[in-house]
Amino acid sequence: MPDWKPEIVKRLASLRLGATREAEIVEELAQHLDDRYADAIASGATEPEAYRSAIAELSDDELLASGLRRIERRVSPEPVVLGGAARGNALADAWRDALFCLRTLRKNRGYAAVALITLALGIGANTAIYSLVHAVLLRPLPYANADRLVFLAELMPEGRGRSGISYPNLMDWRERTTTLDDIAAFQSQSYTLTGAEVPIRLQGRRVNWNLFTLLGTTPQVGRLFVEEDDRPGAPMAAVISDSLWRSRFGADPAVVGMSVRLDGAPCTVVGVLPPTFEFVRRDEIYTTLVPVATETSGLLDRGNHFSIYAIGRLAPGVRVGQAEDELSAVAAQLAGEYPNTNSGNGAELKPLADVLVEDVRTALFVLLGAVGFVLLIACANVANLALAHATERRREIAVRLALGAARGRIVRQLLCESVLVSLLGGAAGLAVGTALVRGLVALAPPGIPRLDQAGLDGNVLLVTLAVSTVIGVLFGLYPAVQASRTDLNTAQKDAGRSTSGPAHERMRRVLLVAEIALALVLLAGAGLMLRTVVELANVDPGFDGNNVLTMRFNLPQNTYDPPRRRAFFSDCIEKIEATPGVESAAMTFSLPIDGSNWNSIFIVDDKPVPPRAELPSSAFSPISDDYFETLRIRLLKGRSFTPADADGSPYVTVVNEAFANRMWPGEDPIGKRLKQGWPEDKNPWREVVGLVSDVKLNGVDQMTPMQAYLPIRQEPMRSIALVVRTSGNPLASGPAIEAAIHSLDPDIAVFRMMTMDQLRGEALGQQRLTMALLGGFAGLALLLAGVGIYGVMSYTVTQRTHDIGIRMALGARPRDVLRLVVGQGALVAVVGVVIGLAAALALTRLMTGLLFGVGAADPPTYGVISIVLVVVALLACYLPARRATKVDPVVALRHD
Amino acid sequence: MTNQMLDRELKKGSAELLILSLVEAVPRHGYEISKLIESRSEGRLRFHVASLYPLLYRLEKRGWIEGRWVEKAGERRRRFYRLTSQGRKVLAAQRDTWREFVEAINLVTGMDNA
Repeated sequence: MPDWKPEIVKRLASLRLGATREAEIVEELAQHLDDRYADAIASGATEPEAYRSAIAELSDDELLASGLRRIERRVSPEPVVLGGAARGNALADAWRDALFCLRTLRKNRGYAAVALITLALGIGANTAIYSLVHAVLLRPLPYANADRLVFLAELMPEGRGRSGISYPNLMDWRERTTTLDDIAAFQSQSYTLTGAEVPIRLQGRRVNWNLFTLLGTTPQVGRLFVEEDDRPGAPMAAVISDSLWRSRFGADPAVVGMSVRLDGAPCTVVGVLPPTFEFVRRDEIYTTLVPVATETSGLLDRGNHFSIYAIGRLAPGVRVGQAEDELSAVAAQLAGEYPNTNSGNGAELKPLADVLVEDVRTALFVLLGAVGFVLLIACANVANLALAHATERRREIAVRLALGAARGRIVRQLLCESVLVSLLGGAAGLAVGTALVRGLVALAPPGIPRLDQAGLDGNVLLVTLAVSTVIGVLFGLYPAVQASRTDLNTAQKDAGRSTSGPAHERMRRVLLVAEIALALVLLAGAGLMLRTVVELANVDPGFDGNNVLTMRFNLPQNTYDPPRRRAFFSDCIEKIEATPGVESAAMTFSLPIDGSNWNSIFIVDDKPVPPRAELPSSAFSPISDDYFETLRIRLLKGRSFTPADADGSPYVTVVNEAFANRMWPGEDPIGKRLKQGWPEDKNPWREVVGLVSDVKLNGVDQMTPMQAYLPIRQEPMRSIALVVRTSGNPLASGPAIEAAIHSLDPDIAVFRMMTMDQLRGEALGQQRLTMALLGGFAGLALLLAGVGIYGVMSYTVTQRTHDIGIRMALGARPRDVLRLVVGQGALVAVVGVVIGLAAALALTRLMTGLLFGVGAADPPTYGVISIVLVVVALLACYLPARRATKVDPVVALRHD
Repeated sequence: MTNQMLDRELKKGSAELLILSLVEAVPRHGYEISKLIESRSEGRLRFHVASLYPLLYRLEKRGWIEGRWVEKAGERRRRFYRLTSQGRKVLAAQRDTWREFVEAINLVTGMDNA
């Protein structure tokens, strides 16, 4: 049969029809001519005659075209299904493409669903962590000129780190620096607010009046501090937080000018801060600093370093480095002028933003990295899915190409599908992420700045959108381009078996190996954190914290002189020990693990006095007599305190092992003497009467510091921590103990009541959260990798049903088939694990700061996770492999 | 010359009627239709591709006939046309018109055509 197409097409050329329509017409007319030709042959014509009679039907060139022109011109635009020439406006095309994509996705529900869920999980986790990182680290501080604000502190000699600024030093800094045009100091302070109902304890700060002007804060009600408030002898003024205003004063504007009692002293509330105000932490009340800098407070002693820190603002045009240099120079000057107190002291000047997050920065970045890995694994899975999906549609694509679809259009449509899936996955991920963020904020330990403001914001949305689109383009591009290179012949031939080319196969393997490697790295991180938390939990704190209740309270300043304090101590302990359920009670200044210590330099009598910069420093803790017994701290030598160690009796002390080993190594510490403070201070010499075992003071992961205990009667302090050993649940006895205290003085506010275990758990809070998150991500990664392996193996088995059928028909046993499939998977797994191990070893080094008790290259951890991963991979291979063995060779061979 | 012109004009006017009537009973494809016209008119009327198909497409566009691709076993697919319900109405109307026209001509020219 001759080919009529060229002749027909020639006559249709002037119409410039769309490819579809033209193809249709051509087909119909060609049919007609074929029939005419066949008829002619059947009635005896020769071929040339028959050809001529058929061609005659087409007559001259213009007749057909002119006949069709009026009709075809008004034909509606070609249907979307087949590819077409680029006609019509791009927007309409894009819209049609999008609708077509949706329809295609709905048809391939399985593929779309798996891809969507995988992406939702990966993107969701990323959105959550990114929200956190953004809220805590990346967002600019909410103060005026935040990038010009710096944090100031002093540096102790001998590299012992940061310390508070001594008040006289601060004054000199203020006077002598030109690079900072304003400095405001702040000091942590807690107050007891009395008046109505129960006395409450408030967390607050004493600040210079200009702190708020430096931060650019404006009051919600009333006013903030002015210079008059911050002068010696000024009447006490307070600025309160919005939450305190609402909870305690009923948001009444008349609070301005109201008089309250703080620690027993009268104080006027002058203003309320805006609800969003937060400086380092959310404090409830602020008072001024200068009025308390009196002789008796000890603030005017240059050698005393209370926890006073400061912020400063860089003068215009000054860089941080310049200011840092100048301040160090000033500190050096002062060290020269006041060698007794300042020798060896330096100054610390850092951007405020950096200082606020220094504790959490590493952890947050580790988490960000981890969650990025999860996303990569998710993308690899989706890419594999897309590859498989595109391969299945080769035939459809080849047909479209043959019917004249533009290659670019096909690529565009495939890309549209993958972008659509990613955008939908991104939207779902956004929802997942938001929920995750809320959960994390609720579970997070306190002390992470600005965490409570983490949430969905424009930034996060934008990043998620960008990530989704990029993913869609990336994982859609390769399969799309590959698929569009198909030609009909190959596709038709492979139609039954539709195996993919070796290029596809290799790409899939590469993706799998990458997934496994990434999963291993995550598992390494999670495993190390798990070991860390376990190690931390197992650290022997040096005491027995079971069934121990702790709480704190402060004796009001003005009403308790030392004799009254001593009386209170003994009455209080007596009353508490009489409470049912209480076995023993004791008082101390600093609780173990808590880290709230009173540190002081000291000298000992049997060693030469070292230079001032090298004077040793120890934690000094006044305790009641039964302290060691209550906490079951072991007494190694000598004795503990007795009622004989009273005011007026010889001054005594008990030291811990760290102290004895440092000061008197190899010697018996009993009988030695020490004295707090500078060598020339008129403090009493204390004789060491006992040696106790070490107690972890600053958290279980820190080294035990030197510690010297003093009898509370010889050093009666106001701030008291109570430890009570109970026979049953400690918290059950809480109310009774509090009542006992109030029966002695109703104006005492008891706070931070918690069991020792809770205190310990609190200290571990951040590590536990990091571990939980990393563990969660590693688990997710493992799941995704397993699913990915299963998917690819399953697909491979399906594609190779024909092969397997042949093999089994030729006598292969199920075992051999199993070995074949699982063997392939095992190879991929092992390669992935090896690469993953190398990567993990390199990367976990970055998280050393977070680890405790385990090295970043800990062999048991790596060994375990490698085994776990290989087992999971093998399992994921085994299931489809089993399916392969069930193949009926007859069915397989017929499967064409 | 005059005859050809007349032929063309006559054909044009009646072509639609021809095609509609041919697909009234049973769906037919293009070649079938042209063969039927040729055979039933004993060769007097002939429709070539260039004139038949534009006509078919025009009728299809108006909705009077409906074309569908049909694939029979072992054959290539063909486009079959059938009369739609609207087409049925049009066919009836055109038949009436044609009959009236012929009667009118006969009355005027005094010809007698049954």
